[in-house]
Amino acid sequence: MSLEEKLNRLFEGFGYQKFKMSKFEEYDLYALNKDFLTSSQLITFTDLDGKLMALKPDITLSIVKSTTAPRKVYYNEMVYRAKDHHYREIPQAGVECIGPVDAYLEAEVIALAANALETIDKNYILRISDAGFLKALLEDQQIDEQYQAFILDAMDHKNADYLRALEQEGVLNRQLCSTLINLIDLYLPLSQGAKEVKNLVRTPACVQMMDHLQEIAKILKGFEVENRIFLDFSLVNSMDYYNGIVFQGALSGIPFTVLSGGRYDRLPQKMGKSFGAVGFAVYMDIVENQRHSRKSFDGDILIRYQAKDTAVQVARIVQTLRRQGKTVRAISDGADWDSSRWRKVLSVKEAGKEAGL
Amino acid sequence: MINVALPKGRLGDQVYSILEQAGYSCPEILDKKSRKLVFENKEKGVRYFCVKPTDVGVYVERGAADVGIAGKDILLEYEPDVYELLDLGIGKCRMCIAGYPDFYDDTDRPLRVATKFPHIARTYYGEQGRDIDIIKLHGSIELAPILKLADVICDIVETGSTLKENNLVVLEEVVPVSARFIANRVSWQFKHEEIVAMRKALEQ
Repeated sequence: MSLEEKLNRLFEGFGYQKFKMSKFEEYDLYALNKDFLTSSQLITFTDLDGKLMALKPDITLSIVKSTTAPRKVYYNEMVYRAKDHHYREIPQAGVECIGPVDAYLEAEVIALAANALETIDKNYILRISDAGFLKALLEDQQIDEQYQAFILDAMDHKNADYLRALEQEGVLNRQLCSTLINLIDLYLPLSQGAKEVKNLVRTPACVQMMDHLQEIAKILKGFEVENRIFLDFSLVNSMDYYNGIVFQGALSGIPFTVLSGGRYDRLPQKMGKSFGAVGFAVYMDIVENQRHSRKSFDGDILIRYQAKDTAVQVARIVQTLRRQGKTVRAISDGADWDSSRWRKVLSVKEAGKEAGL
Repeated sequence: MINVALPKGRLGDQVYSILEQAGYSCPEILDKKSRKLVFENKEKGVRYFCVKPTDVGVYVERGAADVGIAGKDILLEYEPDVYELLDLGIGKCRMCIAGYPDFYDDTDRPLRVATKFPHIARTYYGEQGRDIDIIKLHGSIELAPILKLADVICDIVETGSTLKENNLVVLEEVVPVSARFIANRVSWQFKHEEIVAMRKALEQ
């Protein structure tokens, strides 16, 4: 079973329905919601009726747009984005739960993310944070908006020395600086981490967020995934997009984040829908490109047959070897076939021996 | 096993000696005659690669190395997506704008800036709203103002003696530079204890 099929089966197991869509949308959808896109670079073209269209850079926008009643859906689609100065076709899989989102539904999506990672590799880690936490903490301490961006950047890079420099400049007081540095270093299982944070930070809004995370951690226990989920405050990307729980997944042996998601109520609200939403995407391109060791041969046995060999004999050998589970390619000797590399290159006689005939 | 990307040269040697004292030894690395690039000490669970200083960020970002030592100049120029865990306080120097002592900024024209660090120069002048013409060079930057190829240069200044010998002076300081201990974001999760232990060793 391919990875895509395995993920589809997993998502369907939780009652999520497949959402299939066209490869393009009207450009206006992206122009109106550009805050919710990672990049404003799109591949556009004019439809026959003069309408400006775009190849989809994002799936979530299309799903939310088409949602009129609460629903749970999953997808397995291509998106078209600029990457390394060129447009690329990028496969993406994911789920969206749109509706009256509560703690159970949030936890379910997180559990689904954990299970999706586990499907790819048992050795996975899912990191969680709350997108509003640092903002609430900094606003409570009346830190200037301009400096908030610097501080979030320092958190993103786990750069404690930069925070110390800001303390020396008088931007941060000593206590806030040491709290933030503690948060940078904090890396604990979710429920333990949330408890620890409540000892560090007393801001009511922050405490409330940690209570919520502890509740989520309890539900995750019910899903039996809690021990690979960690609290980490360096998840500060896309904070304009998410407005609550955010999470990112990684797999051992793949140096990049392979999954990211969270709570995003602002998008449905902007589209005039009175729903909440939570979801995630798996970056299938990174997974596929990094997961497998690269092969070093095209196949097992290359048989070169000559005019003197009987075709029936070749056929018999090929079929026997293939039944033994080997990959075989038979070619007429002398002809200029495309260059390829095979574990063994054999004559018909040698191949017969190999097959035990 | 923790993989460490060390920059070739004096900074790399300096960092290695700190790590050696902290127990991450790998004596082979000290053999200057050796052309080897990978040094491993299985017992201590450490493997070093010696790479070009400008490449350290790439090795760490793409996970070939779990951690590495890179100058702040390299991090600002290439912006690898990594954690910047510690300022080592060594390899200190300054990123500066330098030129002739009588340099006059003719704001009527774009300023011609010769540099190895086009991204840093563009960001610095961009913040000031100054229009510039970047001239990317790979070495002997000081030559550019002398030959009137550029009005100023944007480069690393350590002692200032190269500038002095070429009759140039520091006009503005862009940013102070020192060596940083960086880590791959995913390695930080999966090799958390090892990386935190190494940071601690470097802190002392």
